Amino acid sequence: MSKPKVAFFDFACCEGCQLCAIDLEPEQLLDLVSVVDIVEFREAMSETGDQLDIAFVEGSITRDSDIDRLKKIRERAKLVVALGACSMIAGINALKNFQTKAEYTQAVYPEDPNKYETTTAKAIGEIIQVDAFIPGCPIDTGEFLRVTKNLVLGKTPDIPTYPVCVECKRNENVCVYEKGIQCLGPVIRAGCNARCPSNGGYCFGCRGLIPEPNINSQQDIMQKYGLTYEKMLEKFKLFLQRNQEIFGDDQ
Amino acid sequence: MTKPEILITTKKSILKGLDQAHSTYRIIALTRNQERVIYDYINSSDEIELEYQPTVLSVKKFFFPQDEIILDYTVEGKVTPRIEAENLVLFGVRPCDLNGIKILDEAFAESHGDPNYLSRREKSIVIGIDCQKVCDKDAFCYKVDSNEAKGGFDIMLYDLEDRYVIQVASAKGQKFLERYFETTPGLPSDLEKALAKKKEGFKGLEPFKNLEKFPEIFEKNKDHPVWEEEGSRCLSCGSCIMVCPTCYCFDVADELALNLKKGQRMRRWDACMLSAFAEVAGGENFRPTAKERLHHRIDRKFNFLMAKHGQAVCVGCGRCVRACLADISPKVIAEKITGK
Ligand code: SF4
Ligand code: SF4
Ligand code: SF4
Ligand code: SF4
Repeated sequence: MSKPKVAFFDFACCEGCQLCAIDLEPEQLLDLVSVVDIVEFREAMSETGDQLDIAFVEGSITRDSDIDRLKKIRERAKLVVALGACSMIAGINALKNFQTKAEYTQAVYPEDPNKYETTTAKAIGEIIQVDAFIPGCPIDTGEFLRVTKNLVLGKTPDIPTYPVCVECKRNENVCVYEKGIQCLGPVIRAGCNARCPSNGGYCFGCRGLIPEPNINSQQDIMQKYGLTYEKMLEKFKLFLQRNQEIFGDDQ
Repeated sequence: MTKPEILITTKKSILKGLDQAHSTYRIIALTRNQERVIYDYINSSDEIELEYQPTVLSVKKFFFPQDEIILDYTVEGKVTPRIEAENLVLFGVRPCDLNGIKILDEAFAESHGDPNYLSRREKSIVIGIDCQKVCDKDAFCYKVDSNEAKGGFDIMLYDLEDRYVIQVASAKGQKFLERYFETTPGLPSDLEKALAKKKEGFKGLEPFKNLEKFPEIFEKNKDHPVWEEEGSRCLSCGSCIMVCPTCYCFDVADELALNLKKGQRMRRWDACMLSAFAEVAGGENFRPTAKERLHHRIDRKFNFLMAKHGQAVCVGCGRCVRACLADISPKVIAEKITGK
């Protein structure tokens, strides 16, 4: 059996997730290349037209010209995997969607606002069908390896559907709400081992919402614990801009 | 057993005994860990917090850990079970958690028994300390007849200022006591004194009036509006279950190594409040809404499991009440259904 052909592609992002994907121990790297054949890597190789088994796509779609390129990747690949928050939920790129195009282009390129092509930031799943995803900003290397392994074996990747609170409690953390800090943990997908609340922070939602979040209850809780409605929305903004239940249709 | 003999020891002797036992046992006690107070391994009795403060997790985690590897396998079919049990002393476990251990002991001993849990229990000495007052506003042990330990301990200590009255409940407890603690004979009046103090501390805090009838009452109230009222706020976050001393559900998954040659079978805490818990192949979900899941969880505490264990399976420790951001409490639900 020949090894599945795997490639990495990137759109608007910091490329941190690709770095995480190859930030492997030598032994892990050998194991990985023993099960897959990495044929294209943004840093090292050029885009050819070959058929692919798995395309990992990093980054958000922020230009009309991205759409064509993304669709071509879809045509070439048996499986498309969204790699990281930017690709899966548009990530922090979508923060600009809260401003008009004139506002953000003026803010970033005051000398020449029309210099670069740009439009509303979107997740890749809004444009093409996505078969699997690896959440997080950035992704977790272990989870990347697990998902890849499952896809190679023809299994559905088991990404948690339960929220961060589960892992936070397993770690026996004192809930940050008790310290007057509001956290998105109850509605955000676990899998990071509650990284932020376990290290002195709070969850700001980089892994995206769980499949059936109780947004109403979450909003009530954040307001009960002292946030105004506007301040509460601020917390949701960082990673959940593409969620219509919270922010409605594209502004 | 003959009528338990009453013994007295000083607190100093207990702490000294624990330090001596440290060469043979790992010692677990209530201790400060950064900003938290938790049950944890200690190296010296200086680290022990004698005054109880509610912890996020109960001592369940030492017998039934959050995650554990239960076997190693190779794809050729070699299977090696893993049972890792050490000599443990758990010091200062309170009545709610002791009753929790009793319930877990019964649950994990069922049918062929759970070797990982049972071997850990077998190698452990549990030393309880009785409570003389309710620990905070969220605890309701007294409502569910759980502010006295019905089991789960080898040695029980009753506070008498700088001394403890001791009761021994098992042969291994007796052996441990003889080896590590200096005792003097006590009088029945010593125990009475300690219990009188407890009575004073719990004055006015009564159990649910019809507690024994809970299974029947909950069975009749399947359509009570409380399920919708409380369930609609539930986030299905699972916090209540993660912290519960009597919840024992787990998930088992095989983790094949990336080289596809060998793997490990893991088990980790699972929770009936999570949406995927009752989902089966094909996507069918037996309890698709938070309301149904909450109903199921509370029924396990006060209805069918209560009938089976002969005691409320909620021990009133209050952990889920503290943990639930949506303010959902088994006590409030029971009050709404059965009256105060
Ligand atoms: S700190 Fe956040 S993740 Fe942890 S229990 Fe509280 S709300 Fe949940
Ligand atoms: S705790 Fe939240 S913000 Fe932090 S890594 Fe996990 S999902 Fe992302
Ligand atoms: S249901 Fe809540 S109060 Fe009852 S034993 Fe479990 S955690 Fe404690
Ligand atoms: S009852 Fe509370 S703690 Fe339990 S799952 Fe629902 S919201 Fe979470």
